[in-house]
Amino acid sequence: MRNMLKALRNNLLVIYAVYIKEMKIWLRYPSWIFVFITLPYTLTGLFYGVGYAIAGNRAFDNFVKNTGARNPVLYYLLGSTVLLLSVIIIEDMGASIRSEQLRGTFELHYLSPANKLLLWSSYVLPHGTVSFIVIAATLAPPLIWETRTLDIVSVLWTIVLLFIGMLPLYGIGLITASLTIRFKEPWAIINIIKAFISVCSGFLYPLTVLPHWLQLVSKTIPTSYLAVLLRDILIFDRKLLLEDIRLTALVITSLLYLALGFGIYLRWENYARKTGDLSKY
Amino acid sequence: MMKKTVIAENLTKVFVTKERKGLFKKGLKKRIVAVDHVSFEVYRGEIFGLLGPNGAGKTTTIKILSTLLLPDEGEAWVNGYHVVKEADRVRATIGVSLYSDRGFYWKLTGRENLRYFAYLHHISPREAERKIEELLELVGLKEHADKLVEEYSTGMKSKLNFARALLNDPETLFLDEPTIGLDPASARTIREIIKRLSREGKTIFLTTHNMEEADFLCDRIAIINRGKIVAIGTPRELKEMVRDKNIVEIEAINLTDTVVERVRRLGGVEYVSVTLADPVSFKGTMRVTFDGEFDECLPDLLKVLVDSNVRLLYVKPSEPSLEDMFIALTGVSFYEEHVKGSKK
Amino acid sequence: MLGKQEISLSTRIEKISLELYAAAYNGVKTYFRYPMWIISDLVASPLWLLLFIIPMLLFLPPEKWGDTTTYQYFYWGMVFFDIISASLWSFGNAIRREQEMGTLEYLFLSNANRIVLFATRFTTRLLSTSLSIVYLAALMWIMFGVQITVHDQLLLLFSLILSLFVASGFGALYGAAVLKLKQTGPLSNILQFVLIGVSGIFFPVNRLPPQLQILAYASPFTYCIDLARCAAINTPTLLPLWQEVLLVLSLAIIMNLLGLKALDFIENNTKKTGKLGAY
Repeated sequence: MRNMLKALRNNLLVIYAVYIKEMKIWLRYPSWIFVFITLPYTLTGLFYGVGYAIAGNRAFDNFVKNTGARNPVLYYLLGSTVLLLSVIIIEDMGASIRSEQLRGTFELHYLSPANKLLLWSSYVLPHGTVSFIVIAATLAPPLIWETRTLDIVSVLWTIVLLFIGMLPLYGIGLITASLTIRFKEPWAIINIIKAFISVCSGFLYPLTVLPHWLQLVSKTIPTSYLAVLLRDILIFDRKLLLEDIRLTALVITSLLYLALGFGIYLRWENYARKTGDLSKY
Repeated sequence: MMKKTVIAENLTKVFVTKERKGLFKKGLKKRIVAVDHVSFEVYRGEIFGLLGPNGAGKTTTIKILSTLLLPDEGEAWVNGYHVVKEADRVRATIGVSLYSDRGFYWKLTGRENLRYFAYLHHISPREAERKIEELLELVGLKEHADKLVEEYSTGMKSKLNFARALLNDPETLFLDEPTIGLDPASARTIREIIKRLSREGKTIFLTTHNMEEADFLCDRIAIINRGKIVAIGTPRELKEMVRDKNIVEIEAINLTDTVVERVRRLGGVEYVSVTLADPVSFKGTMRVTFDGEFDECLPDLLKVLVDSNVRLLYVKPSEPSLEDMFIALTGVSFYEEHVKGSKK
Repeated sequence: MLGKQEISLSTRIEKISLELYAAAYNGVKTYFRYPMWIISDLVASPLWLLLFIIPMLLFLPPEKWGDTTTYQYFYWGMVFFDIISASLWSFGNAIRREQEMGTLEYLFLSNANRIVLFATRFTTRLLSTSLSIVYLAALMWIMFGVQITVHDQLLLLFSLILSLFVASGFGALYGAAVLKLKQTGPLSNILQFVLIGVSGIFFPVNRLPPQLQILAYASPFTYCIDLARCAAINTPTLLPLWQEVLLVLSLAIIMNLLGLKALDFIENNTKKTGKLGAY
């Protein structure tokens, strides 16, 4: 019993250490706050602007017909924000190992007794904190403009969906990080993965506009469910039910990706220990 | 009269850093005087060493002289050119090797890196190829020349760094810790090359925290501590400063802090320095400097050590070293300052 | 002390040529030694293309999603997306990248022209943009059935090369401006989309609201894309053609001269603060 409590305390200490470290780093370089909040507006402005430039006065009607949403600004803001957060998480996790190798701190993690899987997955908490703050700050103005308030259940569902939706991104990030140990060029791999996830998740458009075969591929990407569920709650004002099949699909695929990420990471970690790649950069 | 190739007058450099505490607390600004009104001269063909512990200001000084840093006060001339007003002429006549295992393009080979920098120094392709082959041979990197730098060890990068400094056949070489990271054989090779270059008429300005290396290599040494030059002279002249001191060297086991403190408090003892070889058994070498006579001081010293359960391995009188001179001038041991500087 | 020596024009040209050769040599070798990046570009490019085009197409009725002219606009827009990204990420971040590698101090230990020092990236970018143009054209054909045609090939080549020069000068200015920021990624992201938005890379700037048109005319990239689009799909230019050609040429020269000043400023500033080698 005592050993169990000690193990629990040690694990909580690791989670706490990662949380404090990440939050300190994020708050000491606060320019990201400005970016996270303004970039979705910039992207929204770009799509909106170009859309009107090419379609003229029929632009709004066409948009409603194609998406079902009556507020293009909110539609693109939500999509851009979630897209941005997903991209940041994939980049962070995928490049984290490479950054640590370049700094010379990666190997030091292996000199500590901290559980490595717990260590890398602890990043979900600071990222989750930041994600929620950013989404709230970004979407609050248009929601207030629409004089819409969200009930507490919708807010809670949003938070839960965000956390669940981030889990597979950590799994994907761990896969990328593992490939880094082998191939040393994380940004190239991250670029491919980011592009793939961004397109197949349908953050910025309904998936029905994609070719049929690509829609089937999207069904295997957890973030595609995240995008559609968040739109249902925040744009179409629909109530989410526990028995919703899309919610089940999100949970299952998220856990699968996370497990896959851990599995591949552990395999490559073994390989790196044997070949001495832990310290190489 | 020997020509002066490096002249430094009252060089001063101050850095401003910010402390950070907690998540939101604003940092306090701190002024660090890295180089404090430093003056010295270096003559053509000599090997001049700037010796000091970590954080003493050695790298800052070398960066000012090599035009990478602008001084806040003072002036300097290298090969007759002012380091600020005629920086491009200075750069054309010097070679610099900074202590770094970065500083190369990882996806280029050693040879390709040298080629690139040769062209930037306006060395023609034909001349560059000849020079590169010669330098690779000199530093012992010929068989690794066509491997990507990302596959190089730290020692290999150091050697490549050294080779790069010689590309433009400079009149004056600035070497920042040239043998750091090298195995003893490679370090010996580099030292021999330095000596040879000096005989060929090149001026060598090197920084080091290795006293033995400074003693062996340098014609003259400037001791720098906390940004100030505390002494300049030949190794012999510097040791002469402590010539009248009696020094005994003791190798023993169980040289704990308590024992060292007891020795320090003995009458007639001026300085004590300890270098531990094994921190578990506290085996190491203690050097005790007396201002009195051996016959008077030694028995008391030995009594203290024996009473403290120190196991003596040998006791012998010793010639003064640069370490002793450092202690005499600064009041602290080089090792202590080195550790403090590392923590800064 | 030696007296000042006058360097002859031929020696000066010889030195610059050697520096340019060194930069090109470094750029080409480095580009092909990151094969993962070439593969990444090949795989990710069509996906990024889709991600940008589809949201804009949502404002059109589905029957208009096959309009060739619209896709031609999108194609050249994506090419200039690449060029504007280059100005910020390649050229603008060049100094930070060199600091990261530890090579910046060694570059500044040479007397090489400071703009040429970063021309390594220009060469890489020239290669990459050339490949993108061909590759994107192939993608447009495969994905949307659109054949990319060029009205005036010589003028197009001229405008694209000048645009890269404008991008490099702009990047040098940007790099100087952001040197104090440890992470330039966030700002680069925003600025990239602002420039893309106001420079009219996907549509002529006269379709923007009047207030935004002021910003558009202040962006050097507006004239670059306008000229390139005219050369490619024979669209009318904002200014008379010969004036626009002169303007883009002048911008290419002025931006790089300003960029050189900016690099001088960076050099002095970092040498004063001791941050030249810091990363």
